[in-house]
Amino acid sequence: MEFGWTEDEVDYRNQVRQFVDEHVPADWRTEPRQRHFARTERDRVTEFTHGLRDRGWLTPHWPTEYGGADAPPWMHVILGEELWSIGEPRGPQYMSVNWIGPAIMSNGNAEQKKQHLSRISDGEAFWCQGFSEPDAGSDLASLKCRAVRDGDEYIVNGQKIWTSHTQLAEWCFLLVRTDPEAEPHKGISILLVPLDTPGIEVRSIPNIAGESSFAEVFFTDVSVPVANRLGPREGGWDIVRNALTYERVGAPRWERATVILDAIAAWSKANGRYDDPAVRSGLGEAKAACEAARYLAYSVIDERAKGIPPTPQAYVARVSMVRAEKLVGELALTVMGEAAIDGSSLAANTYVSALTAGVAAGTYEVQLNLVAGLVLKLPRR
Amino acid sequence: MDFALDPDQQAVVDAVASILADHAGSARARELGSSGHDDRLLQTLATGGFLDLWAEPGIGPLVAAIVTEEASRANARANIAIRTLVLPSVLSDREIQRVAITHRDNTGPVRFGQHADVLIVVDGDRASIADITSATAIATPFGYPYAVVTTGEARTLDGDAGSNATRWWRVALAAEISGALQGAVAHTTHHLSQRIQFGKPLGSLQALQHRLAEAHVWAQGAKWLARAAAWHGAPEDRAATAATYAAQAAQVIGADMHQLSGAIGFTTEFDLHLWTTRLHALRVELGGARSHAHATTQACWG
Repeated sequence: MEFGWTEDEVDYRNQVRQFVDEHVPADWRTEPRQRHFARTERDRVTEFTHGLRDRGWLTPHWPTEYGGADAPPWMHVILGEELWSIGEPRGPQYMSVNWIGPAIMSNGNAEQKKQHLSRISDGEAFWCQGFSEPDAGSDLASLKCRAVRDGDEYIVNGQKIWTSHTQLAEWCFLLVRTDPEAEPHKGISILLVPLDTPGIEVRSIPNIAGESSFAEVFFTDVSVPVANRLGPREGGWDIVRNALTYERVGAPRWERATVILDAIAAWSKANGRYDDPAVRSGLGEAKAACEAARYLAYSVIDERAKGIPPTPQAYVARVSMVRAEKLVGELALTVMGEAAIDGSSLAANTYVSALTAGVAAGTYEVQLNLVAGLVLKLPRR
Repeated sequence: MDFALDPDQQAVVDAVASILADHAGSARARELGSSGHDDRLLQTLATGGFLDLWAEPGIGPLVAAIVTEEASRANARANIAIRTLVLPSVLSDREIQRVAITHRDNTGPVRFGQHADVLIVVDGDRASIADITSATAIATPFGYPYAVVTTGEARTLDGDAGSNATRWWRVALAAEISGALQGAVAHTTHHLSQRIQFGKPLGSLQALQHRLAEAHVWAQGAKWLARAAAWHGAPEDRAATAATYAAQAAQVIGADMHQLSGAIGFTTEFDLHLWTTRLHALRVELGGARSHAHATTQACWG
């Protein structure tokens, strides 16, 4: 047991920091805030991911046969920490390299791997995930979006909602119901769907963040080749369950929260609030929460580095991460006071972002259910 | 980074687990009572060299912290934490076994004061050590033996002994709390899985499941922060961070596990108090969570 970084890892982090200094546009990293990229910024995102690709840093944790370097997942974590702390300039591509690519690697056929993996490792692919529906949020297995087999095609009808990244995405990782008679989680398949397929309509949903970060997506008689199905028919639930364990610790939110804490401390010093004992207590407590989330996430990465199949430890880490983000969001408000009201302030952005922390990638309460059942083995309800 | 023990570390932890299985546990804790001290256990650990792991190459403070954590989880009634993690940070004297610690601003009694031969007194960056010449035990509901002590002539310890002792004291507290958290959560989880109300196990109710799940997350976070702080050599920020989180976890879990256990949780026949009363004692030591949080802030941002 040891908790240090190797020389190679330290060197890599330093190189990433230098690269960030030189290649991330200044207007993208004025503050450690969550950033939503507009459609018009697609080329700038791609330029950045190409830069990572050219250095072998976009998918270092992937096998060499798929454009990676067989590097330990720690390299991917280091990259993620450095990029999330400045607003994640990979945009939605962080998701592609984190779990969509690995899901295709594990479950795709030769043609699908050829079609998608090189585009992701080349920094070209933009994906969104078509999971939630109006009546299937936390209860994801109850989803109704229907795909009916018609020869070599599926005809898809239904609706997805709270879909992030549609403004940039070209492909959708879509969960559909192919067997309405089966038990809910046994009737689900996954289709890889080009977002420009006729019959797909995307409507952005205004939200309290003031930016259009998610959308609803309507499918009306959308034809999708059967060849686009990922994995076996009705085998979608197991695939997505494994994929989500990657997603739950895939975004190093602990690092961004830590950098935000640094900014809150700096702001409180500059504005005469730092010597307030309540501020100093709050900073220390929030720091402790961020570090706990960091180590719980690292414990999941450690399992992955050893090739251990996903365990419920990811749910434990996620709960801790949500608590840390909420604590930092609340601290930003209480420390900055009226100055937080300005919509462009760090506190306003942090607070709104923290509100979503307990909802994305499975709600906080769903994670608690999973910890109770799978870790503590408490009796079923 | 590696979250699994290597073979050498595992061998030590296994050996200590075996000693604890024979010499600690809830029954032994009851036998000794909250004012007692397990000299037999301390002697057994000393004979095996398990109190002197701190300076052992390849084993070091990390395994000393795990030993502290495991002893606390097993309800060991001996002052292992201060002996294994704090004393060696200020003094290389393996002859000393029974040691207690306090600080200049402490107006209360000393934990294990009546069962210690020497007392470390922290005074800012400085620290001293003295023989305990008398100890008057006091009654307390807080799970450990406490005493008001008097000491002989104090010997000033070298260098920054005060800050060294404080950093390692925080790690020791975090490790000891971590073990007690795990014990309290495991005991409550077992109880709620067995206790039938409304025709079903109480542990099947979502409201209770969520609180237990949150408690587990607290306990796990405290465990890894304490271990990482020990491995890194207790730098100011990591030691204070681990102690902050552990003290907060102790407050939450020390209260919640009783709430979840109902009336039986307050009885002495039910083991829960063996961990929770100690949690409350540990969470107020060295100024408690607020003091640790201020130290964290000072270390991180000045």
